Amino acid sequence: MSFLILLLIFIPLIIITSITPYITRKTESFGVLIPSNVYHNPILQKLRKQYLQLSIIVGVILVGVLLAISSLFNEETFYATFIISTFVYIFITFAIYLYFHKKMKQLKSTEKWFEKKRETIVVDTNFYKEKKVVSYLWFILPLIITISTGIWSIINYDQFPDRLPMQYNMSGEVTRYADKSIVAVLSLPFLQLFLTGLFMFINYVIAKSKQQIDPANPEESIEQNLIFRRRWSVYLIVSGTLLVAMFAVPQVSFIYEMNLTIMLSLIFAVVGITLLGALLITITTGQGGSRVKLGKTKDGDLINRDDDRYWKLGVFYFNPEDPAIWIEKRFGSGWTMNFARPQGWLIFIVIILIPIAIAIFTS
Amino acid sequence: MLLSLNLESETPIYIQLRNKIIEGIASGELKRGESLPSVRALAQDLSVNMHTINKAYQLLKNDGFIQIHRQKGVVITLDEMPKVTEEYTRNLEENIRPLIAESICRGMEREEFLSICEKLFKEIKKGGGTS
Repeated sequence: MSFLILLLIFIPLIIITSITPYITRKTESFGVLIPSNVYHNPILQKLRKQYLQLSIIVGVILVGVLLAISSLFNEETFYATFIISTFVYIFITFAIYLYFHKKMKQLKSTEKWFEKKRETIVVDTNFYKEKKVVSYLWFILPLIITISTGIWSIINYDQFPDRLPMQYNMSGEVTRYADKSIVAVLSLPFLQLFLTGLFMFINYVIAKSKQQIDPANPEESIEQNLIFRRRWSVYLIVSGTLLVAMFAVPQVSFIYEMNLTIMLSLIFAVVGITLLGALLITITTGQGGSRVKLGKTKDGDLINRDDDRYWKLGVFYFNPEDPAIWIEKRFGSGWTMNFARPQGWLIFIVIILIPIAIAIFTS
Repeated sequence: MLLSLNLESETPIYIQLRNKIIEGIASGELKRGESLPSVRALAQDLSVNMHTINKAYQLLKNDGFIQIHRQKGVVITLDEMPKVTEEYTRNLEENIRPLIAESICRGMEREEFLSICEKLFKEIKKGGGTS
């Protein structure tokens, strides 16, 4: 089992982290804005390669440590180390990133990349009229699963055990029980409802986040961006429905005994498909659709607004002037928020609080 | 329509925005009744304060190029476009005058100046020259 977790969770984490500089927009390098024609500069290519190598080496060392622990100690120690290693890995690779971020900033100030380039901003007035995400109607699928799980639980309330297992460790032993009540029985359907809402909200963010057009190459970058948003939106529906369906499995197992191995394999299958799917889209699409080849690439004298000063450490966007709350990441795949906007923080806190509230409320 | 604004120009963003939208209407890229992004959306995309967009939209509205509805949002006016008034002609002359003066100082011939005007007229009506 420990081997499976390594393979399904830790390895994809290493891959996604290591390839990050390769999947960013061509107008950014390690969180620093560059003209897109500089992206293929040999110095930058070398930096990307070094980052990739370092991140893989650190990852391989940690995998080695984890494998040693899994063979020497019991499962509990392995899981604790696994969680710690994940954080250690994220922390170390961020430090590596910062090193390259600083190096890029130095390069940018010494090299004459911006000579003869004109800072320009391009917006498409019809951008928000385009269909950027799949219809919200698709969320009826996870909603049906959620409601069915809920209704099924209420109908079969009598058959639920008097003490409900609420938390398991990885070896399948119960670590926390709750006394039976309607609310406790419905805790998993509540969680499903929360997830469905969360995915709908992410779909909204995908549709509404700021448009970012490369002024040197406007037509292609708009098309790439639309493809980028549509693919993640479809991914959201598929993985979201799978995850919500997955939470119905332990609920059913309260009444009908299920083989633990089958149950765990099911869960791992869903988690695995979700992660691999994300990896696949990241590699084929790139941030903002930068890896989608449309064969229309142009190269002009225009560059985007240099907003480096609003990107703290190259990754945290903090711009009080900008009313945008959601924005595409600079270094990585996906979205981040404008940390200068209180609304973003509020939504963030609510998203964290809801599952905690469900856990407290139902136990 | 693709709006492209020069961030290194001395002309403030809201004036550039107003000019580009008028050019869009002149070239036919922006049609009557076509909706424009909301103040918020445009401010978000340009990463500027919402006041900047508001200023541009107010100018356009006062001149009669756009209408701002509570529900439909911002649209290119469905009424008649503003006409050439006496005031407008006076303004136009005032604005062109220093340009002609400078051209004369620099030794430009009348024909050359007029041919540039001619060229720009054609370019805008064809919907070219977006940058």
